Amino acid sequence: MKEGTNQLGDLTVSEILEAALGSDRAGQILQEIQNAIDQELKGDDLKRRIYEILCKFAVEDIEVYHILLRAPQVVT
Amino acid sequence: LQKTTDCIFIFTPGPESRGNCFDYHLGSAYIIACLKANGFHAQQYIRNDPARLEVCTREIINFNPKIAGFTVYDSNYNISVLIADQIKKLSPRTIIVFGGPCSSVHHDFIMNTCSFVDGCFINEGEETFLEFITRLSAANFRYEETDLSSIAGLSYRQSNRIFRNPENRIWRNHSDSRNFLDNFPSPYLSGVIPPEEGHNAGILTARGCNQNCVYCNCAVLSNRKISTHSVERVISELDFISHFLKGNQILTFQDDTFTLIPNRAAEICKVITDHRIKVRLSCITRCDCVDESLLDKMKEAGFVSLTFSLESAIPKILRKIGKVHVAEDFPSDSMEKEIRFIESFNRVAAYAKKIGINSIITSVMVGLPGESLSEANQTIEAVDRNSNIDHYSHNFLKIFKGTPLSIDYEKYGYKLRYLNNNPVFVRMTYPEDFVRKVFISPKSHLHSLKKDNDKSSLNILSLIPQNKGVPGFSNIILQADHVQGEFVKWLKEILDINGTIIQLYSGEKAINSLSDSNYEKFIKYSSPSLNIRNYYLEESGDARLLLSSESVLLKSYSESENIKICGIGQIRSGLENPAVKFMKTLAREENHKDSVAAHSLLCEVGRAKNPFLFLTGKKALPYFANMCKWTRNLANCVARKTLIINEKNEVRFCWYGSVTGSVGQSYKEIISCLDSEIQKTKNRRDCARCKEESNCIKCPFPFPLPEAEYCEDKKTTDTIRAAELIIGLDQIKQIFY
Repeated sequence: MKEGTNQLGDLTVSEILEAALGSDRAGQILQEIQNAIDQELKGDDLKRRIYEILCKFAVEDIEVYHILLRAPQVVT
Repeated sequence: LQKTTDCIFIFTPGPESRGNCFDYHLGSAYIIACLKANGFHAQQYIRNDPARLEVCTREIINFNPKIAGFTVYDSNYNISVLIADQIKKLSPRTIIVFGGPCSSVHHDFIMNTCSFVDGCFINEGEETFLEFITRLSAANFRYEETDLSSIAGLSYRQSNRIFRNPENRIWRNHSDSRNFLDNFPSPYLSGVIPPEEGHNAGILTARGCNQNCVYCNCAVLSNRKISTHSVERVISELDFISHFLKGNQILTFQDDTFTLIPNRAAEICKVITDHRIKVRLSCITRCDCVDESLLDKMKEAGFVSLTFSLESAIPKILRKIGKVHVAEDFPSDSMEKEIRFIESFNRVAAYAKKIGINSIITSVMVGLPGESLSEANQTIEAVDRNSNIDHYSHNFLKIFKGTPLSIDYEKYGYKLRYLNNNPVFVRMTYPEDFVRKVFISPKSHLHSLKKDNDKSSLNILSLIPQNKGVPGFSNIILQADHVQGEFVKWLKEILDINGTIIQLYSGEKAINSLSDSNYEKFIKYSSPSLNIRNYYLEESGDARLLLSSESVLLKSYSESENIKICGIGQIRSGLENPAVKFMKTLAREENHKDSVAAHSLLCEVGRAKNPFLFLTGKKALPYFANMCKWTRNLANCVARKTLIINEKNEVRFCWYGSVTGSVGQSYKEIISCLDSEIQKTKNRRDCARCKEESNCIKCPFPFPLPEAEYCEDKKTTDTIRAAELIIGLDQIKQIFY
């Protein structure tokens, strides 16, 4: 997670995306979600599509977090 | 997957797993590749969606496996035992074997207490398993008639007697272990693990560790020997996988210490660069096994994340644990090696950061032999101050069987207690119990873990439906202080394997005094999940805080970082106030005023020209516990994934819903009771004749709104789009906060 994102409560949703991913990727995410809405995706389908879009653009941050959780000491 | 197999391998999930999936496992994939190369049918049991014990077991048995092999760690031991037992009951002729680190260490205990386990593999499994299945095959898989004696590395049961063969350590049998691992086919190149799964399973360039750390069993399990792959083999795997990784996915070298032989690591990096293989890499290593030149090569090869294990920044403690020099309690020298180790840690972390390796991680352990509170704090503060370190694993020393420390731990004042007399589940007591007083930096993985758990808990508590999958409950919310054995036994029927259990205690006293004994019951009665999160409520001004046991441990956590629960009416005006943060707030409709406030919010969003832009231009909203009734289908009573259970053992689908069953009832009975409640509601309201019939979720429990008012609101205002957007955008908080 990038610097400054511990204060996310102060930011708007689009600013949260920008803080975490940079404005380019945030803009792409918002555009793709808007496209999904324009395609009239609804309910569970819309929710799943938003998740897919977020994962597609934010995979690096998620991966680093998973690496962190692999504690080196523990084998058993 | 082929529907008949000689052997199926099962890697059950545990509390630390990625979701509750049955995944590929690199170790078992090596064995499968060996078996396939020798003409046997073997495969991994893969399941990406959550499922109950009954479903998983049936699926495994449907492969008609002659052998079911479990990869067992301490963390997935309970679930492995549970599924193995069930397979044996339903398919007595299936041969059940355990392997992996837990089997290597605890094979005596497993064989003595799990009569359904036919054999345990000790240490490396490729040669042992091949010998095992070859002999069984020759005897047409008539287990009791097969001669299993003299298969090195096997403990087995025949005629109700347990036999223990000599241990097998592959590197003991070969004078030159260099490139020895090339004798085993590649799990990727032989098609066992799909290359697109590489970022989850990782690859190995070498196995084993030759260091002397007294707490670690990596070196113990490998007999302090290292066995390697050739550079050519590593490159061929990497090249293959690299074409299938997506976007920024990272491939991890799973070696205990990748640069233990620095020249070899440098050669691998050089060949990656020369072959122009584009891959993002990570590894764990030691700061005294890299220098600037090697770091340059690693950066050029594609390393984006490095973990340098540190454990302590105090020379005297490093000496006691044998991190750099053979362990000594009373060193007679000036500990120059340890001083240089700490200096080199700071130097290589700074250099790695400088050349653009963006994620630098370390690991620290507290409660080490002879360590004082002040010394532990000095280590954490050193890591906290070091701007080149992005994160660190804050570990509490554990004493593993077989390690040097497991022999003489008592002299340092440690006490061990086995839960349910099971050596897999150990509770440690540290001298002075100072480990709970040690500063935990916000850079620690414990903060990330608590944050992650809180986010997931908020999602569950708000009853937002998760992935549908096959019928079964993924989450249990238990509102009780005491866990009963009958309750845990019942979970085996209704809860998904490794599903989440959130226990809400009545207060701090209850959580402190009962959570350990409750955990012991989950183990004793074979819970399908030990993924348990303990919380208690505490009044704080106008709101209630939902605190976990970790909240106490993480003193640097401010009150605002904890989960807050309040009524929507209380915070409606604050939604426009930038000073008030709602990232971790669960807003509920507790009274009529709250429902009116929720409805007005949805109307406001719905009136916006573009509701999506309107919401993304606002600060993040709280989680809403009752938003489901305003959606078309995003409700727990539709998805049926979370059950709420109170201390009277009553079962509900909704915070304010009617009782729809009780502990002990079957899954079908509970679902049938809910269906009946929904049908009664539809009949009573005459929903079939309503113009909103196709758009309305027909919430059976619209409390605190009276039924007539709820129906009127649904008919006169469009709340669906706004509610669904709010729930959809919650996922941004889930991922980024």
